[in-house]
Amino acid sequence: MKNILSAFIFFVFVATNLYSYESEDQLEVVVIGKVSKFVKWERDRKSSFIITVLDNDYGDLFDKTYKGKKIQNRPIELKYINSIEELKFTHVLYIGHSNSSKLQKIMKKIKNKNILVISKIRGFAQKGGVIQIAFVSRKPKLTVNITTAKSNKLKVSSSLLKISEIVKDK
Amino acid sequence: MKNQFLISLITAQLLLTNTVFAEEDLFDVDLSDILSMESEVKAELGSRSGGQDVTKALSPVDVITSEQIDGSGLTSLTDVLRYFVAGFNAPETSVADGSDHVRAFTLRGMSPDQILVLINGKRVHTSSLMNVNGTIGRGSSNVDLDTITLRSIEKVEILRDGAAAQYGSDAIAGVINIILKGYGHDNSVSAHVGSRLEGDGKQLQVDSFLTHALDYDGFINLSLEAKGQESTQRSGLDRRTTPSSIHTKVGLPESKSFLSALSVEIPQENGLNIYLNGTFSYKESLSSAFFRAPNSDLSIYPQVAVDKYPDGFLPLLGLKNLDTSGALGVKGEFGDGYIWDLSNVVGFNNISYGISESINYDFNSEQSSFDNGSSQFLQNTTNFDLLKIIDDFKLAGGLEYRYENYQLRAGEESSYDTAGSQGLSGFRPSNETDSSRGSFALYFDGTYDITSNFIAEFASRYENYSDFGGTTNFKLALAYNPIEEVLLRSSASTGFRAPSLAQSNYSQISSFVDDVGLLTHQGTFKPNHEVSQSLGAQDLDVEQSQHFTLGGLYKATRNSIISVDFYYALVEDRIMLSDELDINTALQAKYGIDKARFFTNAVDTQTSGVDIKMNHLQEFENSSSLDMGFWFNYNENIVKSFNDDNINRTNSYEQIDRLENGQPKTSLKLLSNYKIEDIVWGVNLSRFGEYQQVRDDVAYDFAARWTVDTDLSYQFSSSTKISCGGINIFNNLPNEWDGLEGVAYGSNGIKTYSRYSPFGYSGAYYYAKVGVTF
Repeated sequence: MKNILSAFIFFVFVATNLYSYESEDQLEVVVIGKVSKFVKWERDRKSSFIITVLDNDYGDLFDKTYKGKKIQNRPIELKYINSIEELKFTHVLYIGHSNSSKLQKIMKKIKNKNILVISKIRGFAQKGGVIQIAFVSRKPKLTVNITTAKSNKLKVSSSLLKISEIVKDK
Repeated sequence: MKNQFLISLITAQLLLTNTVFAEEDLFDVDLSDILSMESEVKAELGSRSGGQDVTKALSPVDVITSEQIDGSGLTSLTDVLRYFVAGFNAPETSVADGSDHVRAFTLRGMSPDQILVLINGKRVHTSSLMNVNGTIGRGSSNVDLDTITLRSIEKVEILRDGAAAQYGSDAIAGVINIILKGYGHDNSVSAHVGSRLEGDGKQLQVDSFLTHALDYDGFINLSLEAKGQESTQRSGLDRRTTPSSIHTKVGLPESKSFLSALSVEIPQENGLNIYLNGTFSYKESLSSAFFRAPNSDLSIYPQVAVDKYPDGFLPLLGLKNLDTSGALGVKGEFGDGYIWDLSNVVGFNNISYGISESINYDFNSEQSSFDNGSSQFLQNTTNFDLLKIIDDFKLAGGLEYRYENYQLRAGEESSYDTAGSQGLSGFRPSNETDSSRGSFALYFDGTYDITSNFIAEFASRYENYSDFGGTTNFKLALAYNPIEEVLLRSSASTGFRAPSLAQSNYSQISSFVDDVGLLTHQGTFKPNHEVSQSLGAQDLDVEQSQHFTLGGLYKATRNSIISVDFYYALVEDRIMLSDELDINTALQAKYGIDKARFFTNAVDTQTSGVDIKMNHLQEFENSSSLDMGFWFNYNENIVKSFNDDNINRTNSYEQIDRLENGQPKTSLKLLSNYKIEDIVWGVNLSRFGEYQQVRDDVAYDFAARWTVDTDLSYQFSSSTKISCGGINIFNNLPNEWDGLEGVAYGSNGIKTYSRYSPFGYSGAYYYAKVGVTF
């Protein structure tokens, strides 16, 4: 019994090849860029790929994650805004979760625009968003509203739809 | 043994610290792989400012997930906590009346009523059962954790710090927050069947989780559970009978239970969220008193008993335990980011006590079954909470009004008249009570990021009870990151625990045969009763406490965490049930009793110790992974001083030793979970430290013990999983009384093991289960 216990303790605390727990924030930020690879925009001739963050809740996490990275073979350009009125051309608009109470107003402002709108706000996919990121049992989960995607003139790859939950406007 | 342990630990740590880790850029990982990654463990507890990463928490918080619960093979929440949390103790008592049926539990060896339990952040009511026998938890009423079906639980959070300044009364040893499953889970059904190694204690449980999605990620979740538990029999021979044979039921009680939980959230398009959750539990359970053996002395075994039960009889105590709670609330946001939450929670518990296969020697001797009365507790809590984040400030506050009602109902006359029903006397009309009180609280909790690596939290709570007035408590917590991988944390707080209504109003008269064979009547009286007053009793006052924690956490790698947290708590005026005291002859004659006891603010106690935890997740190249945890707790409780008025009333060796040495001072958990493809294998090792029990003013030592639990599961198809495993698989039992040879308690007596045994004495349990998701 003594030897078994010692072996167990030794085994437990010897680490070699590690796997990591990522923070929810980190996973969410990286998923925003990853899902963008599965979407096509109408008349998209910009030389850079623009991600706009409305009310950044994550400090320098976006900068750290996307520094030097490319999406659809274009360098990523990050823009930070604190009001939807400041929004200019963008491929992706990420809406920070502190905008929950202002969501209806924001969505009205960008309705039918050729923007991939992403947020973690609860029920976002049914509230006019295109992609909602949620965490269920600590794992990220995607919900795509294909009606909104269509009205925003976005083509969402079938391989993204396969790994997402799909909702349609009623 | 000790050397091998230390060498292994140190070697492992050296290797761990010197390993270089290559971290893959997440952006280069496939999206489907990212979607299968688990994020950090978050907890709501510890701050009113919302969920936080437990590795950044200002106070130590632990989380047990539904995945861990599913992989444990355990079927009750009390057992889950006992097996996963070092320093959590929940003995299995028997022949201790109602305490056999509602499991008392402790954290850090403190009293069961010094732990606050929440469901989804809302206060849970306690059971109406008062532990009045010589068990761990004597003199307290605790929350009955086993009324909550495991199937409904998403995770259990445990805050290891005093938190009365945040959550109010009872949050002294810590806080347990049970989070019910929310949106996005699958429907499931499962069945569990198992048996003890000795062939008894068979258990059958079927449960289900049914969910229906609503708009905007709303849901209706319903969990159902039905369980049957056979009793176990670990009694020694009863030497009073010829030949010596086994009669008294010593072990787990027999029980049948039905549990359900409902959790509903109905988010509105405008951002409002209406929520409703509730639990319902009904359990019937049966245990025994000591066997009444035929005796030639008619003062012990009278002629009516000889006539009715010539071979002796075993009184059986049956409890019908109804427990339910319901929370209804609405959350929303107004103005510029003001988040509010208005809720009302009702909790109710009713326990009916009945005795069968018994007799009242001095009443109608034909009667065998008795209604012994009931106890009941109702709690209604209304809260309004507000949260606002302003730059580096997170400000939260709120109001609370709580109403409580405690009732005792008398049993039928034959259950209490004269000698009363054998096994347990019923409550008398004079014991009946219908007592209520209200309390109002105002609280504030603010967190400020002083710098990017230095956070301070301040909390304060004023609470006023209608029966003993007001109290104000404070908490200050600091967390500092000198480097990203290291978190240093410390907290200082004051706390309190209001005397429960049961402690202020419980009374009962019981009859038993004492050590020299005489029929003795013993009364438990309210503190304001003249019998208690004659012994110097005073009205109960709040227990007050002071807490200090100092610790830190080191992220050795991104998935390897080591934490060390020291703690110290001083509790003043801890309430105890007094010793059994002699009373004057006038009162003896007036109330027909020989001895009396009452609740009193008896002692000041000091609790100190340390928690050392390590967690590590390792992934191998064949896509398998090993999740491991180590948790060591050292804890010491000391009675610092007695209140002058009570020095001779609560200072029996048995009472004091129970507080100081009745529970293990050391506890160790080694948890591992290996996953490869469709197979998951969990192995948990637990070490329960030494403890003592006093009998007749002599302390008896009980040695530390290891137990090993294992669970092996196979995902048979995408929807079906089968598992098998065992708890305490090597059938390790506590040692028997060493040197005690009494008829009732002793190595050759009826109760060969101590009732304080932290892992029971029913031995190995093996099970199989099947689960289907759809």
